Amino acid sequence: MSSPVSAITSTVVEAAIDVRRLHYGKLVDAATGAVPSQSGYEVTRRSLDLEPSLVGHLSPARLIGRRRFDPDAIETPALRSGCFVARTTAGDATALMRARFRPEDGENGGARRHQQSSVWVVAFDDWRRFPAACLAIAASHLRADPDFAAESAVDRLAETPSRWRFQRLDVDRARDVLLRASWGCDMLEFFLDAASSDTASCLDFDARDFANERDFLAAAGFALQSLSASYPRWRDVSVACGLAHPAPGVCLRYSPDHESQGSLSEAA
Amino acid sequence: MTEKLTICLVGPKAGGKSSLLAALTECVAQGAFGYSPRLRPAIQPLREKDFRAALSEVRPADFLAHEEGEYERLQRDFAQGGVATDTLDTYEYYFRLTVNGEAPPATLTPGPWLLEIVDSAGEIAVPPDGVEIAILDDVKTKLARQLLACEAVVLVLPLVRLEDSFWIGALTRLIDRLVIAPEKKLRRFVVVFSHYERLFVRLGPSAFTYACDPAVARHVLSRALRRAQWLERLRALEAVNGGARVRFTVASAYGFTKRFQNPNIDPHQPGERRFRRAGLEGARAAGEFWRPFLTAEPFLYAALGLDSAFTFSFSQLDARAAGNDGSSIID
Repeated sequence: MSSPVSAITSTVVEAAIDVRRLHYGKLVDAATGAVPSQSGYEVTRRSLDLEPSLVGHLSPARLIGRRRFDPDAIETPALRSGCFVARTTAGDATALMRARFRPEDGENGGARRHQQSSVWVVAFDDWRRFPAACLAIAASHLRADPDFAAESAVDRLAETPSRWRFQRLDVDRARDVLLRASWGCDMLEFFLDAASSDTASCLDFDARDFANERDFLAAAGFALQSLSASYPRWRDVSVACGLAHPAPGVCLRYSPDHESQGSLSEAA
Repeated sequence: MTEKLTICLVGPKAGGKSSLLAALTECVAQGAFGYSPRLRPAIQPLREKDFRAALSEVRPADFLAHEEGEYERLQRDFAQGGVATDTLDTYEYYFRLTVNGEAPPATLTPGPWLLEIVDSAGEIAVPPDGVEIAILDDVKTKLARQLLACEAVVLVLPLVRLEDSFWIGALTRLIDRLVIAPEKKLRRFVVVFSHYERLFVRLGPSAFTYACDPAVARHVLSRALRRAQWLERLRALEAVNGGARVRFTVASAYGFTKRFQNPNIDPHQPGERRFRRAGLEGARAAGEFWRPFLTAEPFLYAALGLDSAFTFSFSQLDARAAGNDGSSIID
């Protein structure tokens, strides 16, 4: 199977999205990666214009659609880098999150683990217009890395949103790729079926379908990019990687564990 | 008659709250507590829906069903080194407690007791002094409601030099607010000093023998509390209108190893891990040497109001302090 990543660059028109950030977890020492004894859970980084009312909707548990985010929520091969979820939440915002558990005494430590999540927030309209770019940029740059205790709180908690420029995807070429790939037909058919329903559903892929998460996200981006803006369930669309259960809504999910079954399942 | 009780577990972060809770059922199962063996308590985790409904309402279809619950997940996380409880919510665990043996009839109703134990991150109720931690208001409000509505509080403190700790101010404030809250339902308040096994690391196989002596625990508590200024506020909690009964105890979630009797912290493993046989996996590996120590004490006292050999009142500790001022059993 050819990687869909290469097709992303075959575009000519430039566009941009603004990304606001929210990090939740613990501050660490820059040299050792260990959590200092006084550090507790907190919002460690936040964009200046992130509405307080939105913050409550950006917790890992809410984004994965569970009461609690615990290590069981992440598939074993994804434990180190964390799971990834993209979905639209309250306030016309779409969240792209990477979340994991890391040892308090540093990346290779053996101490108890703490939750660490990085959430990017983009406007729902940007997500609907440029899903392929959102997913491709997140695949490359969204990491659940802790912030450093040495950085001043003023800098961390009043960050200006970052602007990502990218080449707009050639939708006709993306559609060509989709129609030639078996996964492309599966994804389009899945979204078509979901359009006439209001239930949650999930289409699963695994390491037999895509070599890695980045390829899957590029493929998912292609499929979403081919949906029209009037697709009735755009707000329900979710994309998940390394998550042990489907994300809420109409979910495309990738499991890095090759043992899992690639199939269409009705989400709980 | 079934009695429902809510117990709130609070204390500074990394004090061992979730570990204490994770070791509760194992401690009861092994009888590793200071109550008479004739009491024969039994405790089993429940699902929330079984707690909410009377147990007699369990549907036949569910009778033999078993699904892994939140408590089993907590135990598995604990066996793998633990996970710091996040500040995004408070987490409730449910249990059914029965006393199957002899109990003082004047003290105990026949039971059983359905327990709701609320665990929460230390940063919510006892945040580090001088550190501004942004916590969602609705989580703070939820825990405040739970604290005011609960029948018992278990305060878990790590056994360290209390006057040096960075959470003393927040702890004093919490106790103050509990004292003056007119709407509280609090009947029991248990202060448990965790990490008790660490006092005995130099004693090797004699460690368990010394730890099992209530006089040692009482002495340790007297010393630990000698300069604790928040203690006076706690006395007020007991004094106001006959309010809540306060008890002090010690506990160790890691405990002491079976057979070898030494503190159960493997110095050869990174972080803090219990001893386990190399090459062995699963539940047997986690449990082969594990004997938690007194982790049931605070919960059984909170639920039953029944003293054990290791629960101490103010008057017991005051008497000890007056009789042995300056003496030391443990260096």
